[in-house]
Amino acid sequence: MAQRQFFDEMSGLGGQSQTQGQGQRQAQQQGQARPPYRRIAEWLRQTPEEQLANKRREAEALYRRHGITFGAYGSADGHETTIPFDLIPRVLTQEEWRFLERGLIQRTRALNAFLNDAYHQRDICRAGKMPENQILLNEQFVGLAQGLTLPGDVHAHIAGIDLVRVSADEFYVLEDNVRTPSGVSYMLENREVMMRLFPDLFQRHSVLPVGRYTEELLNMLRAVSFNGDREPTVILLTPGQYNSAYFEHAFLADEMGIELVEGSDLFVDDCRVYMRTTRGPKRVDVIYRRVDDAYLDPLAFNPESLLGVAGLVAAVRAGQVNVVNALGNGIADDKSTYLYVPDMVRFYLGEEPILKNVPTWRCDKSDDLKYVLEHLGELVVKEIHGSGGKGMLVGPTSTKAEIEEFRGLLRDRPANYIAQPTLALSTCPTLVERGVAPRHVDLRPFVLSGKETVVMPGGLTRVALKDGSLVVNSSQGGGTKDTWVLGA
Amino acid sequence: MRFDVQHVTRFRFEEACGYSIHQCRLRPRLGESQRLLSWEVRTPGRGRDWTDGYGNHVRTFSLTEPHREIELVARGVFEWIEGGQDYLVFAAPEALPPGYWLRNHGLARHEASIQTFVADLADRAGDEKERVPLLHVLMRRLVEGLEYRVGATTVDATAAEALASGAGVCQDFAHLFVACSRVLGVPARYASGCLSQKGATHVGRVGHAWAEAFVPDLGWIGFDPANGICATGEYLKLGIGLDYAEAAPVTGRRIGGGQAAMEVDVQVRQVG
Amino acid sequence: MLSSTAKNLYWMARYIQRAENTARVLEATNRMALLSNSDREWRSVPLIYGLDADFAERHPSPTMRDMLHYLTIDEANPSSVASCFRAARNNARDERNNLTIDLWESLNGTWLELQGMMRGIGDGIDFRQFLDWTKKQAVMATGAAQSTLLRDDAYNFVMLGLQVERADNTARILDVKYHILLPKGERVGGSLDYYQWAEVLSCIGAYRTYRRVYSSKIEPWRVAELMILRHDLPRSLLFCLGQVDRNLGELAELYGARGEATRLAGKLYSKLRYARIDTIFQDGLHEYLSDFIRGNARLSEEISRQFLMG
Repeated sequence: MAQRQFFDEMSGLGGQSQTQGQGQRQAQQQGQARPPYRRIAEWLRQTPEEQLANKRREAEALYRRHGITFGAYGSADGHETTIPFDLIPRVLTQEEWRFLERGLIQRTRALNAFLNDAYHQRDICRAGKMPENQILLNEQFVGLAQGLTLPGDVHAHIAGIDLVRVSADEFYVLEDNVRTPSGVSYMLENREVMMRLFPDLFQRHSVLPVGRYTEELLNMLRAVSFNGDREPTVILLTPGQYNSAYFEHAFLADEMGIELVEGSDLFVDDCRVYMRTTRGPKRVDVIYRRVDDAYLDPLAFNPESLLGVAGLVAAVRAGQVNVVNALGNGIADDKSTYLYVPDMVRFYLGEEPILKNVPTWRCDKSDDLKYVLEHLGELVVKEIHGSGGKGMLVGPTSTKAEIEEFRGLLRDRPANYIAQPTLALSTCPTLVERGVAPRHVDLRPFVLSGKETVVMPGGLTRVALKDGSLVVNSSQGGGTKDTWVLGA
Repeated sequence: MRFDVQHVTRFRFEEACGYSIHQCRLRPRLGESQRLLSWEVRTPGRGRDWTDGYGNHVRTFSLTEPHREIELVARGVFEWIEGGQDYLVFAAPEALPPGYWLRNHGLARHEASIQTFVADLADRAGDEKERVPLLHVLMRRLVEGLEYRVGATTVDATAAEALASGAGVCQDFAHLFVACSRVLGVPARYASGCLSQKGATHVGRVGHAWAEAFVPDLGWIGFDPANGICATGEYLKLGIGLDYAEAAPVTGRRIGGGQAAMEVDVQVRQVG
Repeated sequence: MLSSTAKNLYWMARYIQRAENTARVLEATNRMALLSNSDREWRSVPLIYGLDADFAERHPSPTMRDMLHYLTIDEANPSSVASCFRAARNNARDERNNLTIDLWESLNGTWLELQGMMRGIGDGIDFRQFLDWTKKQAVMATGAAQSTLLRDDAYNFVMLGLQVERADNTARILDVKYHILLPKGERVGGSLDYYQWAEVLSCIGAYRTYRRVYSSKIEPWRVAELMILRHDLPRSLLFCLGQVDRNLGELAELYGARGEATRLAGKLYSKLRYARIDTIFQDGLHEYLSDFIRGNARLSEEISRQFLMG
């Protein structure tokens, strides 16, 4: 693998940006940090390694005590694992954040406009900006949702937009998540833990708070009820404790003070949804569901599903309950639709996209496929409907055999894949076995859309803990960091 | 021509059932030359009518008190004003464009065996002017290749399974027709409804099913491969879908009740 | 509160209690076997739980060890101590967010330890040690519930499970033991073995209480009076039903509605409050207890219907 240059968030070194000028190279020689990281660098220099190690153990204990676990929640032996948490925060300046925030809100508004259009007239196709089959033949398109008009025309109430940074002023959107994006509980808990462990660091910085997220979330959920005449009852529907994100479901329900329910706690009567309580049936107005479309209603989708509620789709279509996020959102965030998002921004908002897409080759186009097959060793190949870092090839870090395997897959089902250049994801100093070393990071901010569209300042920074790895997914051994947006 | 329709579905549970919910598509979707003179749908419990993404009229109703029996009745009279065509065009405003109905889905999904079954027709499929004759060739192929036999398949048989077994009922014929059409690039869908037993040979007492295929400039045309004829104004359509599951006249879920017996009785009589 | 939550809490408590009760009965039976050369006592134990047919099928010519194995670590028996602990832990796991860490850790710890033990023992289990451990774990879990749970409706459901199970257990022990120890034709108050009655008392941990209350020799009718009508003995029927009545009363007040369960509990409780032991014996103890067991089971069904199914 060729030696690559990566932009380091703290030192400002590497990357290909024009702004990487003389001054920064000098900074390297003097061991200086970029302004937003200056105090962090100072703190790292002053803090003995064993103290950091102690704090790390303390953090781990806190996570266990709070029951913050991932994946193996319901594992047979009752033991659970936590996602590794890194103590060194990832810092964004106010200016950087302003830019990202505008871009995120713009992108989410466009995605919402697209989803509403996709399930109504499909004007974007009529205007020639997108082939209609991209929507109609998309595996994720839900025919039953055609013509469904939702409160505020919002479909993607909660969006997690994955961003990567490659230089001081270049960010790319890696993917949009508008089905049931997860990870926000880590954003909140990471901040809690950091504030407990390093109160002095917070005194030395002005960090914008993220703790209001659950309140904003609840406000949004209440605002999207169909039943405006009633004080809305909001619940969170989980697939149950065997789901890898169960902790997050319990955490969010707890924080919002709403019931955490499973499908069997609910029933539909007269096209209205009720939950079974010790006081009798209680009507439900808004369901924050963390169950996938296919399992949501055995009468409408997978008839074998035990996770959903029979008649739920009828209740939604009869305008008696709203489901968040909406049905059929998968058409907006799969990797083939991704290509069209900049056009969505232009078409629906009449604006130029603020955030850029990563250049992408579609393997169903023969020219693109040819290029991809010739350059497999340099590219990242992704399954169109894949998620969680699975079904993906990172050319530069893969073996010959892995590359050849993908060559076969691509030839068999080219339409299933897209390819992108291997991005030089920025690095951020991270506590590793021996001292501090740069590790690749991405960023997932969370965007809420109800009456208006808001973003919490920050998000979840995911970090690839393996040296050189570009895969940050927690299911693939990634960790998380607290993400700071500095105040003015 | 006038037809009187009585569409009765009855469930009997072995034990008292504490909760059940049912979804029915029992309100007609008319063709160009059809008219409804009267229609009513009677269901127990509490329910509401809604329209699904395909424009089907659905009623979802539920019972929350212990019950051992459920009866759904749809009845009414419809009229066919005979025209010059030998087939009926279903020309109501469409919720989704024809392209949607190419989706490879559910019980009507196509697999290798189905591709082989119509491989020789692929050449003709490209020509839109050839579409109607092509669909007739396809229908004849099904009539000749598949035996109409009650009990040959189960209600959840796929098109490929029906093809492999060489026999089936109207549902299987319809699934196979739909699957073949889609393989050939012709948008097609499953239709459920009813038809007078005089109108055709192979009509079950439990209702009927056929297929619809899209022909540019003409619209959606009904093909009834179980009988080898195109749908006429005698066919009363109650629902469309990608496959049976999406168009089924009645589906449901319940808690308790033990074994259940379902009984469907559909009678269509010409009354004028 | 969600009905499913209440249901899990109710059954969690019942299972914890069932494990403890079984351990107490087996301990007493074990002690008795050391003193007597009759096998009537231990053979009667599966009968207490209505498991006699299943036990006989699995063990056509049973030994006492078979019986102990069947009721302690046999996971094929859904009422064994091991099965009860597993069920209690699973109920608790479903409601982790509604439990205190102490209670969850106590149940999960018990379960993990049990798994370790089951892997290690084979045939060489020391039943006395196991029963001791069982009692200790169950008491710890109950203690954790009582000392850490918030006193809201969740607590009421835990208490309901605990008391309904206790009442059932006490009634069954008394019924079966009285039957066994007092063969047909023998008069109440006849010359029966002191040790056997001491065993009955031990089954509900009330031997010393008896001594303190009556300071007289152990007489069968007094044993029955203690187990049924004593107002301050935590496992007497009167005490348990009093608690059930109180908890249901609190729920009725909280929810602003009284249902069939509330009414039935009140009825069972008043019947006990105004009962006299001589009339109970006149009308037949067995009939009285069978009646109570049926009534208590119906009460549990009504609690389910009213609160746990929604």
